[in-house]
Amino acid sequence: MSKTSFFNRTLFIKNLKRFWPIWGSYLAIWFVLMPMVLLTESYNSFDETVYSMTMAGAVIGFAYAAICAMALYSYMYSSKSAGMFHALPMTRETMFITNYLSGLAYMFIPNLLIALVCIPVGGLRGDLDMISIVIWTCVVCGTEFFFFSFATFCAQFTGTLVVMPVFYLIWNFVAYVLEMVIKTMGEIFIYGFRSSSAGSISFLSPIIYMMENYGTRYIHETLQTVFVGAEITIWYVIAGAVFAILSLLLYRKRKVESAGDVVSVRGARPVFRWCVGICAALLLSLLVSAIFNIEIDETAFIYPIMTLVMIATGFIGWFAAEMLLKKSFRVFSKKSIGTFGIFAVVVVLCMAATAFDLFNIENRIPDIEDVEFIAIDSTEFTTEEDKAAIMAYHQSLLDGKDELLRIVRGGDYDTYFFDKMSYNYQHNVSIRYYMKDDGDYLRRYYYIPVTPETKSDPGSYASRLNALLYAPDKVIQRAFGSPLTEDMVSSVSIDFYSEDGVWNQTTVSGRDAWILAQAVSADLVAGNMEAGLVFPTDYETYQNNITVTYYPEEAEDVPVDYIYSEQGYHVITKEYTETVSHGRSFGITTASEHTIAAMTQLGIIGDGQQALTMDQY
Amino acid sequence: MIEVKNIVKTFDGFEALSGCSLEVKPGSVYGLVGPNGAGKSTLIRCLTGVYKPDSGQISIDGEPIWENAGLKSRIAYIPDDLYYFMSASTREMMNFYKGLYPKFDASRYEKLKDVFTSIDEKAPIRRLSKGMQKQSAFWLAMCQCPDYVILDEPVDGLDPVMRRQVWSILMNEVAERGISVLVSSHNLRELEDVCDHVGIMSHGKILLQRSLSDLQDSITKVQLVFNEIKELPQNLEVLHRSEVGRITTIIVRGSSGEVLNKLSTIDPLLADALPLTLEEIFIYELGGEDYHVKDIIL
Amino acid sequence: MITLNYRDSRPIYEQIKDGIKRLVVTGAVAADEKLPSVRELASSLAINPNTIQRAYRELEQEGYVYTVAGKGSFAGSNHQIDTRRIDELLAAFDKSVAELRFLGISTEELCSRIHDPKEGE
Repeated sequence: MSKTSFFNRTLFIKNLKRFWPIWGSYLAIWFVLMPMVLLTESYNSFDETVYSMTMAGAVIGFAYAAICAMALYSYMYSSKSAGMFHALPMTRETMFITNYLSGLAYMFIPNLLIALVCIPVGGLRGDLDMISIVIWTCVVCGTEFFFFSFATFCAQFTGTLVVMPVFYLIWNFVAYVLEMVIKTMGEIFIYGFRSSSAGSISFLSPIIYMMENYGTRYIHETLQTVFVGAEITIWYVIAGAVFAILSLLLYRKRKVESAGDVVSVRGARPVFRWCVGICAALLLSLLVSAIFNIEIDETAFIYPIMTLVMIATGFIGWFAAEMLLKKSFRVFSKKSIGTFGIFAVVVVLCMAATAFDLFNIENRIPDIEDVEFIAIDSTEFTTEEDKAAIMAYHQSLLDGKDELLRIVRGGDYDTYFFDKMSYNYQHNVSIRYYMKDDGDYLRRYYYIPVTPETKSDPGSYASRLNALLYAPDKVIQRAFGSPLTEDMVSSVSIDFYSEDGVWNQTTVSGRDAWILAQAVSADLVAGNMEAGLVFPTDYETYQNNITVTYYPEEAEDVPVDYIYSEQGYHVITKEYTETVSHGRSFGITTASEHTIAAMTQLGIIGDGQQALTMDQY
Repeated sequence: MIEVKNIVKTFDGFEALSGCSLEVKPGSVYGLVGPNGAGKSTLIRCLTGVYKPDSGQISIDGEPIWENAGLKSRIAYIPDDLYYFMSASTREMMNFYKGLYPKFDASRYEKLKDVFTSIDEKAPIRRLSKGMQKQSAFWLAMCQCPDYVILDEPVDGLDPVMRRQVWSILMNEVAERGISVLVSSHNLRELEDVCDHVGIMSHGKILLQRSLSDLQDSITKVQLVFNEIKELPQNLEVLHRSEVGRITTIIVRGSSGEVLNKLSTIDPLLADALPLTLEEIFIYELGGEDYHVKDIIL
Repeated sequence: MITLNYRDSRPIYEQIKDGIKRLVVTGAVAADEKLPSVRELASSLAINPNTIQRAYRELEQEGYVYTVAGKGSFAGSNHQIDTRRIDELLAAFDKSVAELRFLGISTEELCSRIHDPKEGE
């Protein structure tokens, strides 16, 4: 019997024997899963497959961490077992550390065994790659280290076995859920607000963050696949270590008699009440607003109504928490209602602050120096005058808040389908400010009325937007990114359909392509080609499309972090450039005079040649 | 030597122990008695280092018990509600304890098999009857070769033969190795045989703590028949008085010698000093403590 | 050798004392023969050893046994007997005699009894 302080071999071995179904089933699952996946995966290479299994490792580890913690810490949750364990001749540090290491061993030892199994399997396949096995093992162990440490931490806060996984699940997802809820509520309560990924705290919901970030990247130069997300694992390992240490400190202070309590740490009880109250207020209020279709309007009644709803739903949550803590239904006393009163006051203050825009969200227009460019849908405004013009337009939308809300609310504005003579619909203006420093963006969304009257009034919101969007350089930017030059144009092709519907394509290149491309640009600028972005067009579209294939002026600079393909997540950074040609297709319309003229001139259409056909449908 | 000085333990506002002090001298058997809810189990859990008192000190052999693994390894504690791992048998628990307690004697385990014959050492303890579970606990505890044995309602559920066996083993240990035993029990009849010290506990405090002999010497039952003087002397501290016919039975503070001496002043026709059982001492001492005991003869 | 009667209301140590005394007085344990040790009695009777110690101590004072350090207790011979005990017993004797005579037993019967004691009742 070893007497190493901080670790007790007898207890460790007892833990292994006692809970063998846990590590046994974990081992069995991976023992079947890993070889099976590796042996049946023929499309991807060994290393890619192994890397893709890190996510499976994270999910399985997420679940098993909780199971291990529940088993190993179950002794704390009944007074009988807690009494027995704490009378044993072991210090709390020793007990804690031994149990903690047992939990890690339940998962780490099988991980190592599975890693070893991968070697012969890789040999069978023929493309064994040791690095991927090592990385898989490290990432999965690191992830499990985090989850188990976190589960250990959760375990310290309660005295009831079933509450522990509840805390674990909730705290793992609460950040993500609350973020979504608050963003949704922001969109309900704040005029024009739309959430962006800026300030996202989804890293506080690890399994989701991992799903978003673990992946592979294919490096063309070295023809290698590398794993992406290892830095994240390292951060989580550090966090796990912090949780482990905090757990030890909490355990030292733990009162054995808290077995049976819902929340065992006294200081955490008011936090529990507040949190349950806040979550209930937010979630249930959101539900209420969804059921009753409550939305912001010009009267601002939404604020007092939702304040009351939040206080009521918060009340439910608050006192439900109190009942759980006191384990009784009799929780209403002067004191408890008084404390709830503070909560209610906080709710009122927050809603008031939102209503009066004290957080400066509604009325916020960023400083022009901080903005890199502004986008309205796919149109980009990069010059200083452009940016100023958009900001002025934005300000006018803010100034006209009451009017716009009333109009949009009051009319039967729910259709995009219109007739060209008397249309009446709401158009959404989506403004995105892309900031200089961190590439984040600020998003706003407003509705403006679009009617024939607004078309004829140059000062209307719709007309002003139209003017901004149809500046010639903007038209070309939307179509081709930058003005076309002859060397950029590779080819132009047009689709034709015979009377029987047989499809046929005519392609030209060289000079002819350049002539056609210029014609298309001219038609676009004149507004003869695209569907109207703001106002409906009064021409019809032919069935035929014309496609311009060209090399863009610069690498695509779209602020997208990654694209998803069948092989998993591939990260595209701004350095990734590839000279690809782009093809843009346009529908030829009855008004596309330049294009039709050019096609006639080149002999593509005309007497005896293929004709443009109308869309029969 | 176990020394408990003025410990206070509160649970969520309820004061279970309010300034409790006691002392168990080495080589003695201390009986802890008290009504339900007095705090005996709480006190025992503080003694064994399970609960931490809010204030006060608990030391064994001069060292504080809290988080003291070395000290705990010399204590065998059998609680009133036992806990066992799900499917562990006595033998498996023996192996577990062997690894934890330095003085664990596996040969003693084998020897005691002849005492605890009705227990199948390979059967899961959970499936045994409550009495057999207690026997198993006791068996394992004795193998620890403890210096201190702390028993919370130890012999409930044991048949008389096993009870006798268990006490016999314990008394042997006390006589031979000088271990100290603290027993909490309601069975005063039994405590009377095995204890040499008694502590009476109520409402979180030890009301009195005395050696059994002192206790027996400090309270006397007298059956007397009055002669001409029909009244008791003033200097007698009478705890209880009842009459059956001409015979008056009184419970008085003082040793039998003192009391009979005082009674001789009224020259009774008959005055017999009778010994009191521990039960009776218990009842009469606590009679003034809101413990509603009328003329109950247990 | 020594049994305890649980119904007996006398303190345990008194019963033990009586038990040992009987062994000595009747000669069941001869003079200078070893008596059961404290440990043996404590274990076989399941009684606190201190109680047994006390019994032996008092018996030693009264002269029924004597103790040798490290070896145990031994039965005493009658020349170690203590007069105070004699007085106690005589007083009890008087009491019993008085009661018996009250109940109608004659002096002659009592005398014959002294000459020819009946044991084992």
